[in-house]
Amino acid sequence: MLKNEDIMVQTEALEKTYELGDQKIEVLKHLDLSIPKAKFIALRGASGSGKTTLLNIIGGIDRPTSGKIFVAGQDLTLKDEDFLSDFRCNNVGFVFQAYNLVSTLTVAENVAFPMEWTRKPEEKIEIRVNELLETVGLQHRMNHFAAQLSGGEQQRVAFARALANDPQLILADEPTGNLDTKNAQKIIQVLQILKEHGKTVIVSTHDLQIIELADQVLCLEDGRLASENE
Amino acid sequence: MNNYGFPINDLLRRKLQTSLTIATLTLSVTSTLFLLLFSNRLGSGIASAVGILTQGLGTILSQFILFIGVLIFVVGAVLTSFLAFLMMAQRTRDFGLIKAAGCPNNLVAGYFMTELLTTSLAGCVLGIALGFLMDYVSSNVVFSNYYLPNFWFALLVFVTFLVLSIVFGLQPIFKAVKMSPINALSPVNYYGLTVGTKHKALSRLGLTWRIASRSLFRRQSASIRIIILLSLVFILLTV
Repeated sequence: MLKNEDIMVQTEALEKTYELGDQKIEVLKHLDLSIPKAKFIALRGASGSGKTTLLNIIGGIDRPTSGKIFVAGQDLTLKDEDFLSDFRCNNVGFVFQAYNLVSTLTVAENVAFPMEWTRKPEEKIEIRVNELLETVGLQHRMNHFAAQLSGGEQQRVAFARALANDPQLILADEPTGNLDTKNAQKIIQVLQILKEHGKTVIVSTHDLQIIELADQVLCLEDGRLASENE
Repeated sequence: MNNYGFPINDLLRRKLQTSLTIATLTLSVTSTLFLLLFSNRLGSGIASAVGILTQGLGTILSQFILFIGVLIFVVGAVLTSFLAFLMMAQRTRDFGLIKAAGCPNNLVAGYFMTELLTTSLAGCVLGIALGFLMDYVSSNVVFSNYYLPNFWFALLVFVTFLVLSIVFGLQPIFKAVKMSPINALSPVNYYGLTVGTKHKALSRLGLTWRIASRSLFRRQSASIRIIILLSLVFILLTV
């Protein structure tokens, strides 16, 4: 039994339903789960099983229809957008499958951007940007724009940006989904580093190499937790 | 990059988009100011020609010019408000993108309000300057008169258009700030795209036409705005 202070994410009867015209699509159905701190979790399941929706709700970028969600000791269930925006800024690093980099900023500026939101001094930002770009192997691309990078490089920039404020929770939505084997390998190396640093990482993935890296594998099936393997 | 760094960089790096928006705002302000000043000059000309014209004809012409002047002002004001609204509404995905990456709401609002203020101010200042220039040229070429600028009209146009573009431009910003990032990133929100499952294409003429008509009907709010905007431009041109 986990103590409250050891839990990073907890959901209670979590449900999410999307309304599309007259249709109601139930994506998450009565989901109860606990994710401990400092663990690497792989979230697997078929397309449409609710992996992305679950990650979005954990990351505070979407809200559940019913049920409860606690992340890093905070109840996010009924919080307004102002609270959630501050929460995301200080606690979560999100890596999207579609990268979502700001197209008018260079690689270095994209990585520095989150640190400016928390008003870090410029010298510290510069040091941290160099450090992060070295970790993801993109120092030579720091003055390029997102559109000038390959998919794999953009994904690595997205990782560097997610790590900028050193968040306690890192969420990655199919980070190798759009990449070839060589680029996927580089992303896996970054995930390995995060695991070694004791971060709580939740990755939705179909990639067997990432699944092998995980401390725990959660399998979603049709919006429900089908299995939980250590 | 400080707090002003992002909006200024963003505007400068979207060269085409920024210059087109400023140019359109400028043209809207310029044409409104010029036509107002021109109709005012025309009205003064009629008033001073009362001896030549009958009093009744003079009154009718003055009232007609006053009506045209008000119409020009209203059309220009509506055009500017729509432009500002569309300019910010089409950035909804960018709001979502920055919010999803973790940017706090107050900063997102601040960034885009700075962009709105900068473009609106640039459009209005350039518009007033160009409006005066056109009035000066027309005064010398058409009327061959001694040029006396009417600053009251300029002030009226500048203040009204600037306030309207800021008020209407702020609407999509506040809407996006309240939205969850996932909604702001969703195509449902680009130009008010509506995902209707019941819609049927009106024509079976061809695939291109079907795609075009579906896109037109699904982007209801944008389509309505563009139709109104074009209608107003045609009214103005006809007048």
